[in-house]
Amino acid sequence: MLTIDNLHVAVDGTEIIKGLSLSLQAGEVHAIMGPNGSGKSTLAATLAGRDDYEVTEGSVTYDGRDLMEMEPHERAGEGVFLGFQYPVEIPGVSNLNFLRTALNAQRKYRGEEEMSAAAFMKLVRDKAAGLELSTDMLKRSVNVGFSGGEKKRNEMVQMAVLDPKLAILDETDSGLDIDALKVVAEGINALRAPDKAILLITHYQRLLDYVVPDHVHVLSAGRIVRSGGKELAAELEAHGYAAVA
Amino acid sequence: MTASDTIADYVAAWEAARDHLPGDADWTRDLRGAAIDRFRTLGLPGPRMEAWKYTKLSPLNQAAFVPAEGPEIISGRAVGDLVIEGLDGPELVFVNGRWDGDLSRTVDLPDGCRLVDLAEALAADDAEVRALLSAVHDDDALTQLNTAMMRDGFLLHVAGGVTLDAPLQVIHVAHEAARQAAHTRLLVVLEAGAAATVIETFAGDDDAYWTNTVLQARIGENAALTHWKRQREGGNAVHVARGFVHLEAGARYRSLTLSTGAEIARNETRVAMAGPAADARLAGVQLARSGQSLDTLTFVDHAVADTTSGQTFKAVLARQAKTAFQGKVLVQPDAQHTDARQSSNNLLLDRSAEANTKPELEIYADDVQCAHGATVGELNADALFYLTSRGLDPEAARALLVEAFVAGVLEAIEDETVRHAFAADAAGWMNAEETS
Repeated sequence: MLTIDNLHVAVDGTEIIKGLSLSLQAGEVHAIMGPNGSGKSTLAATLAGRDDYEVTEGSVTYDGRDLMEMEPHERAGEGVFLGFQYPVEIPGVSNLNFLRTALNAQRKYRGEEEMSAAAFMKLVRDKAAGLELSTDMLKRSVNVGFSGGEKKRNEMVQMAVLDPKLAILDETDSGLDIDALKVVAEGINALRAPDKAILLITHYQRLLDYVVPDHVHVLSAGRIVRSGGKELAAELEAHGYAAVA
Repeated sequence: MTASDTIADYVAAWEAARDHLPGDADWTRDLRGAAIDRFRTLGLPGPRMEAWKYTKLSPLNQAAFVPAEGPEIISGRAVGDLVIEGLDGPELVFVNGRWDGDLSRTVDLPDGCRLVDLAEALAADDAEVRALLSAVHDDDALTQLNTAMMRDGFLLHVAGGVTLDAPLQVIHVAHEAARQAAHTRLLVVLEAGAAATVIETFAGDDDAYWTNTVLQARIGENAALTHWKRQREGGNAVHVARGFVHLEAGARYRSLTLSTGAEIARNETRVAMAGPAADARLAGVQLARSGQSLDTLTFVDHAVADTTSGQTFKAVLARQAKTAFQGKVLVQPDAQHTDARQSSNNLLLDRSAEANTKPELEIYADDVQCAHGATVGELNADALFYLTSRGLDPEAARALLVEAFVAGVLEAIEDETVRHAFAADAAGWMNAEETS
């Protein structure tokens, strides 16, 4: 589904990703782990199409197409979702309005009919209930006044409603207490399906107790230095990045 | 042609019109005569005056804009979409500054209330109109010209304790009015405990015309006037509106102006807080595109103790647009416990736009709460990326953020039908901006 080949990314002229290669098949969950500054968030932002992240070498192919040639909203329309490490607050735009506008924009992009208001409300209520986010919160401005945990659960509600094919989750576990972590993990597990792929980007191993990955990669200084199965995460937890990398 | 030649033309137009203007009484003739004399002395305001630093009236200097000679007959269709449907209140339509009885709609008002055409009231030497017109002591040249030239307009009088449930809609429309001026004068009197809402809509075609409208409102004790205004004049119009609002004890004035039209527009509101517990809430949204200059001026005079005022103004500027906000709050020595707040927030969609904001507090009392804030910023890049990463194309993402920027201000309008009409105007501006 996603093939990253020898990717080099520079931000403000400084190379952050230095020859990263990775391949995700449909149905798989991959975890990328690494210390701060290893390039995790740069990778996530690059895949979602953030400005100012310059691909200097290499390629990213998604479903046979050059992902880097697409605008951010086109990537979303093609089924790519980025869960933000720091979800943005947007005063004056309600979560419901935002989510419905986004969903219908994606449907329009794919040549599908807009979803009716009633069908949308039913969908979003179902998904939000599973993630323990109240309807009252959905009526409020996007992420405004939300705690760190609520923002992350809100990301998961968006993911559940938009139902992407490829989810890239950038430190979705950071800042969560154990109860919130379990709720978020359930949200991620609910997306697992034979035709979908998930890329978890995380600093800590604990999320992987609840979302068990098929593959674990260690990112260090802009490169994947080791890959393995789920047991690699436990090894990192026990010995630290320095020992493994 | 020099500026003084143009002034002579304005005066000549008055001289030609004077015998046809409504009102034969000596006081009317004296009032008009004194006003044109003062206008002749003052000339058109210009950038040499601080209050007119940002509003360039150059079209009015190049040749005189004169009132229409007779009423223009237009189709009801031309005003149909300017009326907010479903409000059930009276509707007054002014075409090129002339009242159009056929297009207007009257409704029965409660006892003690009246709504009369100004020209008729002047012709009938109406005592209340006389008292109101004689009470303006403003040395602004354009108000003087309005006084000299005024013909149509209205007096709305609401009796004590009466609430007019349905708003009065006032539609000002210009039709094939090149080089014409509309000097409408609107008078509103609310007796103690009365309440009313006035909704004004200004619109016109692409001719270069001039709207020079003056509103006077006297709000009695514990009375409440709500004043919503849509300024969507034609693209070559000059729009000048001046409001004088007088608040007695416990009186309340709320206003909101949404400006999207005209080449040059200036909306000025002067509020006198004359009794304790008076409260004024002024708000405005200016959406300016290339070639437009949209200005707001406010002056809130806290003359006595225990009064409150709040001002919330926002502007969104597309490329090469210009806006100005000049807001002054005066707290007089006796006005202890004044609470006055003012904010001016400006959003530049392009760096070639120019937003001027000049808050001014002049405080002579020591036990007061006064605050003002002004910002000029751009769309938040993080928010734009967040929205596009969820599937909104960049134009839709920008439109949503602009909508959010102004939505909070429009929420002052509680009536959903009215608020939606204003929001639709704002959305229409944004959609047109995308395609330009």
